[in-house]
Amino acid sequence: MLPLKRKKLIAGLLLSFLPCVSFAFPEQGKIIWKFSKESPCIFKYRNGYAYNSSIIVCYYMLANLKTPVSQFNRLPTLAAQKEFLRNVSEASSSALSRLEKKEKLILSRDNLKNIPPQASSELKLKIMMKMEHTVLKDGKKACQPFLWPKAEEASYLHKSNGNWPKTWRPCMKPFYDRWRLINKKVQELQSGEVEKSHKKVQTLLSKIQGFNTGSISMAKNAAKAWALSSGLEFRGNQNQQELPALARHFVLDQKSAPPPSPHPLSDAEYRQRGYFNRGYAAGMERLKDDALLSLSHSLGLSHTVGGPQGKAKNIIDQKGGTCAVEAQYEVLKSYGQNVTPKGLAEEAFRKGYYAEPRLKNGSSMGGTFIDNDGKLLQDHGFEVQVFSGTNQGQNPNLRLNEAVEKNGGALVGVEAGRLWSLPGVSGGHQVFVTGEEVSNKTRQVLGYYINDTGTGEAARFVSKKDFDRAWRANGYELIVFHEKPKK
Amino acid sequence: MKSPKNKIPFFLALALSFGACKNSGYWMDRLDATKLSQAENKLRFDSGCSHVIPEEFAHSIPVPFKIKKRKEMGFKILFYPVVTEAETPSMAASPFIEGVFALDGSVSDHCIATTDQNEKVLKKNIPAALSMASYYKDKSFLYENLERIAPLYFDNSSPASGDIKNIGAFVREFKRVSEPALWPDYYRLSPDFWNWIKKNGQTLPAPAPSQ
Repeated sequence: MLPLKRKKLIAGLLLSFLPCVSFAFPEQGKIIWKFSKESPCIFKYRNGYAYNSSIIVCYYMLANLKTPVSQFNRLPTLAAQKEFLRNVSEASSSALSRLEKKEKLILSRDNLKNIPPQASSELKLKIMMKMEHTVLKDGKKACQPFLWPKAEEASYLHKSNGNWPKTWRPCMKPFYDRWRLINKKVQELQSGEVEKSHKKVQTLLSKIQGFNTGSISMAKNAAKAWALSSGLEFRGNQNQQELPALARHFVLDQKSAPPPSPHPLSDAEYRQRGYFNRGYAAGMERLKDDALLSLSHSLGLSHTVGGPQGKAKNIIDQKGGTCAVEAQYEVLKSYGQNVTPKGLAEEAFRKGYYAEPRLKNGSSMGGTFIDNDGKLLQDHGFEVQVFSGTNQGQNPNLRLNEAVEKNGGALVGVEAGRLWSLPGVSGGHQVFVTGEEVSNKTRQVLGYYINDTGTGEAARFVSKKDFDRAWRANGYELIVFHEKPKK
Repeated sequence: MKSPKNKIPFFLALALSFGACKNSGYWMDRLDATKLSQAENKLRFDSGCSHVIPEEFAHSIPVPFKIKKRKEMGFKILFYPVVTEAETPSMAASPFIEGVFALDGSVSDHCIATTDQNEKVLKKNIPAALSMASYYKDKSFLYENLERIAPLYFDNSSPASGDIKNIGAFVREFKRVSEPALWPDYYRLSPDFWNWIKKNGQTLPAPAPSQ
């Protein structure tokens, strides 16, 4: 059932069609549609008297006709105009009743009450994240006949934040209200999952610490913990046969202090990480990665270089194709420079490093020319070296590792689709490598930590194999930087 | 007992099913090992194109072309902006830049701006909903087949039955992996190549060029 308020609103809108056909001031010639962005629906007779037309009819025309204003104003007679409005009024009226039906369906489908109470929190989260997505997507589709103007892409240069136009609100309100309700619950569950994962790690560690007597048993326990941690649950002596081999594989470095846990330690840290920004499955995968890394640190199997957790606070969500600009913003921020994402995007545009073509439908998608890699850093007092393509000479991984160890990070260009698991997206994408995970035994790099302004994820661990595949597809593009010594 | 002849499809099916189990990483490695894929990266980063190609632009699948008079033959590729949002499928704008490269050095790598760089229209971009593994599997097969059939097109030699199979496979993979919104642009790049494909008995997705 539709809420009463909504019913009243729709009834009111339907009633407002009436003046179109029956109510008019003394008529003098044709009606003129005086369109402006601020007041798009002003209809007047030639003598200046207002013609009361329904706003819904007006929006319907604006959303569905190619050139509605000139089409209407060109009609030869007043009778033709009224006939035209009558036809549009009928069409919009039936579109409204279709919307009413769809709205009912969508809101009854994407309802928290539909989630079985006995479902696990993981399953609940999965279902809710899907609902969160479909309620807005299908709501937008249902409202399409009345949505005008088109939404703009977020852009620093065109001063658009990517929000819906105000005119969308009346139609989208019920869907947005439902989304807000679901989103609140999703946030709660997501933070619960992070908490749960953290507790699992702590429980495992407390079980393992009980056995810490002598180096061999420690190594055995480390191996056991490793086997357990891969599934993040205790499986008894299931892996007993494999333990000696695994134990030989690990060498514990008990002298070094355990590095900081990759698990977020506060709400603020949790929010910066953006675990679930790429969806449920990716979020759970990240939690598992961080749990494994926490265990690995506690057992002295590996350590983190570069302090990626500290750099997570500078993460932002980029607007448009400004990844290369905003990756440089993060670097400048991490060195304490006073810059803003918008200011840097404008600077890059002014200097010709970045272009942002405006597309016909109002959206914009820009990019930084490959030749201008790292130029903003140079302009802000950094020494920069750019490597890409076939002219690398040295193994690109060694160069990246050296940059992370010496300077605490580097910028790399990767193929976005491979990094985000989005098939078909072959564009390049720059991210800030904020650290690396190094094996204590072999001293080999196991993976990298990245801040990704494209997804708003910070301190995301990407295994070396996955990272290399995304990096290789973008010509191993690498920007190494360090601050010029101050005179 | 089945005859050995009957056993071949079984083993083939078995081999194929093992192939299907490979993860996306395996297919990415295979795709990146193709000469075409490496030449694309060379074009983007080692040629003058890095002046004009924005990092974030996506690139199309390369299409073979030849200009008999100038004895030029190679591949053309398009660069276009993509908008990806969590809620909606990826959208492509009309390509801004056309790149040209060759595997044998018969043309020098270069890029040209296609038209006015403003006011481009967004189109639906995403290929059919594919998993990462099947997308990269299809794409690696597409590149491998393209490397096999391009020399036949360049030489104008008549394809043997095995080559016809490769041409058929190329078209199938092209339909699966390429961006439907860009098909008219693909045909515009090299109508002669697509006509050659049609002459060899393949049906192209609409709007295909007329012979």
